[in-house]
Amino acid sequence: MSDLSPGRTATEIVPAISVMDLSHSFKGHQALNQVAFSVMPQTLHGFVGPNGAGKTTTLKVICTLLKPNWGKVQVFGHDVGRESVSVRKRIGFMPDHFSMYRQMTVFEYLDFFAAAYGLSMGQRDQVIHDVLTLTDMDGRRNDLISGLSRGMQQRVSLARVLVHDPDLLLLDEPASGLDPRARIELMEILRELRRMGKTIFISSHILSELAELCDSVTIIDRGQVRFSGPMDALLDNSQDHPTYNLKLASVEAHVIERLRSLAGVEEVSEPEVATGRDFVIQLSAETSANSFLASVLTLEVPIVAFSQQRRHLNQAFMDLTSRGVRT
Amino acid sequence: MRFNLIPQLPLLRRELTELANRRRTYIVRIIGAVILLSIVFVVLRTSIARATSMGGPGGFAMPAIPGMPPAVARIRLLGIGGQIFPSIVPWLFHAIQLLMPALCCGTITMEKERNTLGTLLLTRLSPMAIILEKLGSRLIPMLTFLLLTFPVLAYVYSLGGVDTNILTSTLWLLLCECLLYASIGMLCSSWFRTTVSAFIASYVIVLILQLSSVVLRRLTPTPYDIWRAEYQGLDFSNPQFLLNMVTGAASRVSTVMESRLTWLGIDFSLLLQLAVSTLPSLFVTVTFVALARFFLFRRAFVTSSSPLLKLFRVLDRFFVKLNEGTTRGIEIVKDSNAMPEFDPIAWRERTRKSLGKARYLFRILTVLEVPTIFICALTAISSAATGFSGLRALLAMMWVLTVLVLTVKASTAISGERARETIEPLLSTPMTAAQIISEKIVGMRRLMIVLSVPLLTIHFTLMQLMNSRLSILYAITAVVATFNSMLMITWVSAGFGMRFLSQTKSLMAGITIIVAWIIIPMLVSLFLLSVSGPSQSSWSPYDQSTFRTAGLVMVSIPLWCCPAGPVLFNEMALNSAAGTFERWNVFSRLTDSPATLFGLTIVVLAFQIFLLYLIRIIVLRLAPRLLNRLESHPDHSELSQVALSSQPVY
Repeated sequence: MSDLSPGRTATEIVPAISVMDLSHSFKGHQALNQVAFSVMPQTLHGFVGPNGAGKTTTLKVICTLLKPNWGKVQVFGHDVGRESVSVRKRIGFMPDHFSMYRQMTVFEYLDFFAAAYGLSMGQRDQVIHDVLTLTDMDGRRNDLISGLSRGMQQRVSLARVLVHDPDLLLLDEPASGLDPRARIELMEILRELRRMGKTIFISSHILSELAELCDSVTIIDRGQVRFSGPMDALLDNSQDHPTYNLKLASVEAHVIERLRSLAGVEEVSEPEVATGRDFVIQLSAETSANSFLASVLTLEVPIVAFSQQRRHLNQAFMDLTSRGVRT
Repeated sequence: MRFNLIPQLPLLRRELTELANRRRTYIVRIIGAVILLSIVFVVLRTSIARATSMGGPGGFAMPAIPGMPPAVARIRLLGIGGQIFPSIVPWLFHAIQLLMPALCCGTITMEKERNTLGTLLLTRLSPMAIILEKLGSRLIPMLTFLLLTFPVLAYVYSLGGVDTNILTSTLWLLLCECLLYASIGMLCSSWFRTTVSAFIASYVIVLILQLSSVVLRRLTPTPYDIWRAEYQGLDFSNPQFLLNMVTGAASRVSTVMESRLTWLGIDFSLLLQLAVSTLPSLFVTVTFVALARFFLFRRAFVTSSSPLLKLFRVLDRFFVKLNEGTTRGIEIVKDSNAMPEFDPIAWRERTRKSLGKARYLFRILTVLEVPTIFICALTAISSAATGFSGLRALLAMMWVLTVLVLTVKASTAISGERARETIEPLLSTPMTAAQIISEKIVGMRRLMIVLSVPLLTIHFTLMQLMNSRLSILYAITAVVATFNSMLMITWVSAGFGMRFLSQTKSLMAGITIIVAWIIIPMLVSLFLLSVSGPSQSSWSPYDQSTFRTAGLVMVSIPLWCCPAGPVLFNEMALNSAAGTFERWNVFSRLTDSPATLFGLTIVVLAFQIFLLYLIRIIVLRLAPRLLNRLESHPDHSELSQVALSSQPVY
């Protein structure tokens, strides 16, 4: 399905998810407080936050399973409250637990949901074949779900989400409880789905994988959005104190002092003992990488590599979220 | 220190604290107390009215005389406690039989469902300590519940006619009854994985205990049987060799000790005799508790699967083997394994559930129908002299089974999905909440048909035996009333079941609601009859036909909303047409006209068909909210695109 409505230009792309001023409370406990973010179509968006931050509540609102107290949520321009049927047809939701009918075969399970999504009997066989091929489960179509491993069950669950060819996949902790191999394979499938043009909204705790996988990210803590935007913007820490890695082929005497003496340099850390050739240099906000590199060249030191240091998602997450247990 | 008195019973302490912290405990206790005390009050009032109008024991209670001074009127009540007491106490036994298994069946299974039993077994608590503390935690609420009725018993005691021995022995027997039924619940809780399975199994055992009384009671008389034999004078098992042996031994013991065992008016020799006679039931209790302890560890980590489904699969394997051995595997009728067209939920209910698959339901039908036909023939012969009251008792029992099965199935339809965490994927499909719940109930259609067969067999047997000129009308009304009542029970159970997150809660709530819905109108109707009904001994406005009809309408109004109402009226109408009405029904004082009663049946039935429609509309309207789901009102084009559920909906 196209996200460009007739008469709209490419600059007016309808967001896959648009959350505006969303607030929700349970029995006096404020679970979400003016949450706002958007997810563009055909991107892979990570949704991270500590336990109890409000991730599952947000997901439930987006997939029409919870009515928010306040705010507006749209999926491809459809309001989740007023156009829930239209929303459900365009989303595929995978909850954070392995919720399956264990006494059914893989085929029966998928056929059940294909029928629930209103697919005709003629369509179903082909669709099920396709999703099983995509998830590499075609050989297990007649196996009972109860006999499958956890990783395989998760693949079947993902196949179930895909039976009605949704534009938006909402995945709540899809990799939880999976072994490393199953986790890597799942991430591969998600990459493939993104290449196929699906929008994927993934809530996860495995930050290293999200950093590699996601185009954009939203960090939520204590019911409030701490960051929402492109992954690069989060990991790129150049705005305040740009930090660079400088690797030299050999280290001469007093190199640290000479580097520190350059204009715009705020701090040069000692190289690690093991290599002794990698320097981490922090510049002032107004100093550009080019001018700094030009200054380094004047020192006539043997440069092997010069790159901007990026924060790890773990670090960004820790910086943005509060410590302690939510009360 | 809050619990200094019971410092060594941590599990009991935890259970009681949990119970005390739940608001539900108090609500249930209040509702239960109101129901039990209402029953006791109605029985008390009816008994007093009957005793005063007919004369008391030994001539102490005199018939009512118009214009009698109040003081004299009060004196005439003296000594009638002995008449009232046996009418009230059975209700206490029934309350225990009804509630105790329900209270106990979840004690261990809830730990299994929450995955906390393993942790408990790793503590220093021994398995027996766990069982006993759990048992204690359920006995205490039941005993406190019974305690509520003690003021009424004290009042009855004060009326005279009940001696201290009867009172103390009744209390002992009530305690033994509590222990027996609690042990059944504990055993099932220890064996099964889920509370729902344990609940069903507990009541099946209770039902077996009740039904197989002829054989079992001779071997192991329940405390209630002993009480009935002692104080209601029922000779329930004449050749009761074991009971006689036990009571005979007790008599000999008591004869030797008689002179030393009387104190404060309490005959301890009698109590000792009674205690010995309860030994078989105590032995059964101890056996059940020991078995519960035995299975506690062995079945602590069993996987969740339907025991009925397992049984059917074993039978399947047996029949396949038998077929291969005899016909080399020829199958005349093969199982259709067609995938769902557009009713996936109904399809799953029909093909993947033990109470949905045609082959399995046929087996259940055979198990129900064959004994029904046999018992029908027997009871028809044995109860011909009493207007076939035996068949009515069988009908009542089949209805109890039907109500239980339908309530369990319907009330856990959604909570079962919640417990297995399969509800969210289902709710995120474009199916509406109304479609989901409707398909769940459509999936129960076959089960309802199977359950209706024994019921209708009894009705048709009655129709043939009574041989009335209005038999056809009776048959048609019976069929419509049966299905209408079943559907009402199913929809109401499903509606209430949706509210709860856990299967246990939805099951308990469903059963409580349905039992209250059936029992309360009957009690109110009986109460109205007892307080304003025609007296046999004095003048009453109901002596005139106009007032009688008005009285009939007034007394029957509570039954209009009761699912049992049309069935009851239909039976009255048949009896009236056959001329055997007066023998068994108090309503006969108001009318004995078959035409009036059939008219009333049809009116009540028509009202209940409308009520079913109303209940269905309400449940479907509330479904999105009860399922915690956002639901817009899609236009018709959206619905037709989804094209779900081509099945007709009830």
